[in-house]
Amino acid sequence: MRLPSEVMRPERMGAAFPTRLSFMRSLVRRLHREQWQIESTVFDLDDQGYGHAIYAARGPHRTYSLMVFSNPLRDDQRTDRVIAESWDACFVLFDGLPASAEVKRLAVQAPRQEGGRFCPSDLILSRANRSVRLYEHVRDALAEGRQPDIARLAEVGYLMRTTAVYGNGKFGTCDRERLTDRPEFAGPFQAEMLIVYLIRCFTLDHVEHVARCQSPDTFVPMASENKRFLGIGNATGLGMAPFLITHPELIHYWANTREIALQKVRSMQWAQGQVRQRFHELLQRVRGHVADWCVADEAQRRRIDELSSDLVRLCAWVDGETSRLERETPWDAVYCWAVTEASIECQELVVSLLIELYPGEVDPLEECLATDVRTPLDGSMQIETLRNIIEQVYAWTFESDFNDRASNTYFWYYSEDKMEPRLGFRDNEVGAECEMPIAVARDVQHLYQCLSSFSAVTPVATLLMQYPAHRHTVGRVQTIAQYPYGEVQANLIATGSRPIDLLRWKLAFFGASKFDPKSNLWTRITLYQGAPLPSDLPQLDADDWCFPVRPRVA
Amino acid sequence: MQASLAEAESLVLKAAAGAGLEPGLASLSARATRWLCQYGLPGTRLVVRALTNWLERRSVGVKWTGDTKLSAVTENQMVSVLYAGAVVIDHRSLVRAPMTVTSPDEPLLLLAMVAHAIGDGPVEITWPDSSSNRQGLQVDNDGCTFLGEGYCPLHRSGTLDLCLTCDWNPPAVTGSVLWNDAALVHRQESVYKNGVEIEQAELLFLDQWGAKTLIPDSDISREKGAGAGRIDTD
Repeated sequence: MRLPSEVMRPERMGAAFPTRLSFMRSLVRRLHREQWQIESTVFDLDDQGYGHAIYAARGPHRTYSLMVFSNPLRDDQRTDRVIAESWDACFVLFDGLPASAEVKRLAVQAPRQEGGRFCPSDLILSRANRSVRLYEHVRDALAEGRQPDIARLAEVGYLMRTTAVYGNGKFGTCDRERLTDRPEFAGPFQAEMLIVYLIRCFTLDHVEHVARCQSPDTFVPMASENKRFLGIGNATGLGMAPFLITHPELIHYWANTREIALQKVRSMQWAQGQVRQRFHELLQRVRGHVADWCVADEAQRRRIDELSSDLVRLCAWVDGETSRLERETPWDAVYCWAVTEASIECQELVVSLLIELYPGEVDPLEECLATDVRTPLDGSMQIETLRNIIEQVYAWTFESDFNDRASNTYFWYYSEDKMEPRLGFRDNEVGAECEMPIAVARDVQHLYQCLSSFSAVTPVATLLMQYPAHRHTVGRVQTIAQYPYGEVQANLIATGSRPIDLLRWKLAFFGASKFDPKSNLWTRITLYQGAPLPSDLPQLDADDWCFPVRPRVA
Repeated sequence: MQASLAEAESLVLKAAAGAGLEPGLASLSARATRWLCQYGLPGTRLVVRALTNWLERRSVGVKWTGDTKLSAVTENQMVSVLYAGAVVIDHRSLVRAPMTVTSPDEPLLLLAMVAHAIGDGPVEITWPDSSSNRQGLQVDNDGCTFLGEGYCPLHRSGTLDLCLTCDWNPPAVTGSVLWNDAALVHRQESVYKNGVEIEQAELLFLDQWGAKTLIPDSDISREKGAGAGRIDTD
């Protein structure tokens, strides 16, 4: 199995791709398996698309409602950042079917987002802005009686882009522990994934509604294959990164489970013919998918170009000798080829492809992705043991010299301005004393230095009574000793630190694709591109939507 | 204000950090608050009092005054449970006999810290009420029990014997909050349904101290700190 020292490095995390263990895939499998019914029960929008709508998602045990409030927004108010004050559309995932009083309440609160107050029946809160360039093109095309340009769909991939998805008690919404006994929400972020899926449904209906109103005589509905190719966008910034630091046990479960899945596949002694065929099909599909991956960022574009040529070479290697995949341990051979011959983007894409091949082996592992475990601190541990753990598990922290300013360049903080997470320069910005406690490498080094003033057999409790400031780090070190995949092995305050690598890793676990970095600190992504529409859910192939490619023009 | 459990925890975490508590201790207080609040107990009220005691130097840290006895580092002052909680938890498997904490300022908050943090064995916290009856809460392998006029399992196990001796009357809230199992379940369901009630004065206190963890806005941070533009019409 790949070790944490390999997997949890930012350069590899920043090359992650979604897998069949990704949370969106799990949700869609459930929606299919349990035959969920999704329908719009209220669609009270004017000709411009402003008003409110309700979508009901009916599962075997419960019904959830997406409540939509769509309002006019000036272009100069449209920002992806937390500091925004208004949006094209605001959403709440409501527990059950809302009474009119609930609709009235949320019509006031939902558009206020972080400024609003919510209650436990409000499960998730979100908002989205239009991709003006694509939305207007699709609207006008449908109004004029033609399908939108496929190249334009491929270039953007969504009609609206969410800029935040809040749950787990934020702003008064439902606490997670209230939902964990519901099978549909037992997995990580399943309620969040559901609201995003429903928002996608709304965006498709919305653009058709506005186009129909614009020109009812010439309007044509969007072809289903075009709809499927449109996902929902998302803009993600720094706020997501601290989550990876503050939830080490959970992150361990995610990474460890994915590595177990990969190892299961690599350990396969032989590949059956239909699995080999499936691999060939996926390889061809993913080449098309990568060809449609459009980004403005120069560095990412070079990585995509390299990935494209790697995939050509991988195809050639696989096809080079007729029996390459018919030999023993073929998938291990494919992975090893990628490691020795291809870019890190290609290596991680191969991981995703291999995991895709064996649903029967992999899908049951999704049960291992959720945990609420918290590791209790062990005060009886001797200093020598703690020192040994640091030397073995945290050896990577000693790569940083904190006497060197380059190792200590940034500090992470929350701004007074809507508590937006930001990165500051330690040397020329105020507020470093308020930095978030996520400088793990530095803190572990400080702890390690402190250990030298205690005898080897002293219990940690004695150290902590004298130096309570180290309690946070001691607890972390002990946790990571048990959950080794739970630590991002990077100094996040160093010059050259790329928080975007952490964002991509987490977003890949969500199921995001088409990563479109806008700086080292934030990225746009596409969610649910290629996913089945609600009307597709009863079909048997509702799970086969990874690495979507543009539909062929009729 | 009706808040969620997550908000109650987050408010306390930020306020404790803003008040200068070390991150490991701030998170301990925050989780204990959530543990109390989920049973309808006034966790935020207790932590506000504990923080106030500590900020106003009415409570202080602890020292060992015997093999099993923890007392205030300064005579005639209360022990701050914000510190004592961590010490008790960290020493739970080192001190094989019942530990005694003398004069803790908020015994119920200390119990919550211990009960939340440990995973195995009995915990007992007792103190005399105003009529000198023995009251308190006991956590053992069968759950957590209110020692008073009724019993209420909190479904938490532990392996630590802990005694608190208070030489003054503890706050009234500790005397009759928990009643019986049915009442407790009802409390929990009520919290899940309605949220946690945080009084305005507590909220003000927590917000004020929490604000000290935030950095004032500036042009440079607004423009560059988030790495994204302020207008994103595409």
